[in-house]
Amino acid sequence: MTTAAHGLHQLSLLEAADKVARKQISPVELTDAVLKQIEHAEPKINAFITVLDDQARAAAKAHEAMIRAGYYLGPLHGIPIALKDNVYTRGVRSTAGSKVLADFVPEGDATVVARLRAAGAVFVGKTNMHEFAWGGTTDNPHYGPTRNPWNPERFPAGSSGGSGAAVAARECFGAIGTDTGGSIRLPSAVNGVTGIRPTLGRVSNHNIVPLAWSMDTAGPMARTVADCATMFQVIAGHDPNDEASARVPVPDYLSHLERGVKGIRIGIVPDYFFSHLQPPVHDAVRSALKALEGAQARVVEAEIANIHGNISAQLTIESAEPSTYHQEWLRSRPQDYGADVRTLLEVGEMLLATHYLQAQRYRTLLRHEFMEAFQQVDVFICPTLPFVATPVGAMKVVIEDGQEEDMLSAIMQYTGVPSLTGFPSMSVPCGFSPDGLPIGMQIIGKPFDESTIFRVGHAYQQLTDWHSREPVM
Amino acid sequence: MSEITTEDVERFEKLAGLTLSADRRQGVADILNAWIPAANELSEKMAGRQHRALTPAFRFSDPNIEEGVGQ
Repeated sequence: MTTAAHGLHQLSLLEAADKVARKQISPVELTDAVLKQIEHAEPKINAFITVLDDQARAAAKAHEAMIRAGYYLGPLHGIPIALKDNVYTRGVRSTAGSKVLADFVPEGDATVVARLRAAGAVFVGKTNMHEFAWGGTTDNPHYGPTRNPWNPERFPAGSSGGSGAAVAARECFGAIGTDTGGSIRLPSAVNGVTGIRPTLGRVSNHNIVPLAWSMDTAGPMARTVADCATMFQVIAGHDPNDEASARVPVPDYLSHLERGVKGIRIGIVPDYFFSHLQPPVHDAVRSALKALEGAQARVVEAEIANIHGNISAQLTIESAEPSTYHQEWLRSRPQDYGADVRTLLEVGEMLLATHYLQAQRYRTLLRHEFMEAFQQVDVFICPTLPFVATPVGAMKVVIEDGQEEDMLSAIMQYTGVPSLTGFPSMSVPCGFSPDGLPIGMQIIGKPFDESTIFRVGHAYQQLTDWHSREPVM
Repeated sequence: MSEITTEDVERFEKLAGLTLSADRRQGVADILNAWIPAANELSEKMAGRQHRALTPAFRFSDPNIEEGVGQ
């Protein structure tokens, strides 16, 4: 691994933005550097379904002309960004990683895309993903598996595995992912990058292919917390096109970043957050808590009486809702689905309505218990997932005692809580396993309090350098 | 709970108006056998008298939260 930036593509988003703002580098130079890195890395990791060479160069030239003419749109002006392929892009096919939508070319942008476009972002491509976002491996049967830049024999997690791998491999300065059960946070953790799932309703889901309506979110993935906050500032906020969009003011996230963690109360749930996980993950997250305590944060133990049961609730909801959305295609084009997703969609048709509604009522219970605990703490911290990247193609994982477990259930152990409650949460790099695989920790905040999550994550990144390490491609 | 068999899956297909080929039923049965006991356990918990007042809620509607907690 390396830590020094030798090429333009290796800068952080804010470093690149600063150089663009000062006219030290141009959007065309940045875009060329990123497209060259994509050409170099793609044969190894396959993070993209579609690379937008010509469109990106044309957009970069236009943005360069604007800047020369004195029009500067802000920190995303001329910055190369990647988009997960379930996010609609006007005139560019948006497959959602599926054969079913292989030829789908949207007439309009997703709201997140429109906002990034208006802020001057240059879109370099559409990233690979688990088919229809229904799975956590990005082992895509139609477009090939994405591979982890830290070790191409290992998976990038998912479903936003292409976005996570692309950020890690320096194929873009930031990417948009979507997160229903963990699909931003999981690939952020195993690829060694930073990614935030917003509060439900904070970021518009308009024109994004849904997975499970009641839990779907979209958010940024980037190399640092500050980079994520910069992207989040642009995409957060009410959207009349999304009926679930919240009318909540959007604060200035960057202005809160430097406030440190002195006096911040960090909640842990010891019997859930630190049980049933691989030792390197346990040790890395415990060390991170110690580092934050060293910066005068306080760790507080909390009890969440009904936290067990969250995985079942998540599996039920995340099965029933996609099966509803896919009902027609599953009958008319079943052969066009990959084997794993087809089976999960079939299973979702066989769960009872009472299972689904009891799972939804459980979400309310879990939310109440966490809101009660939030009287005593400012954020919770736990691992993002209980294991490091598994081999590409693996459907089982060993966490402890040599016991093989089903990947889908195991991978949601910690990400399910924010998904069900609707709370915001961010994965931040916090170490490496002995064999060099990244480990992430998850910071969970109160509803609409992404500011405190960014503040804690940024403070941690001032204390450590895990986030600045990059894989040798 | 007794094991869910491929014959059970075939019966569920009728309820769902979905027809699976015979070779797909075992995979579906395997997942249902893994998931349904936990789903039933959760349903039993949530059906308890102490949780009777809970209703599903996805959006955050608390006025304090709408004003922006923690900002």
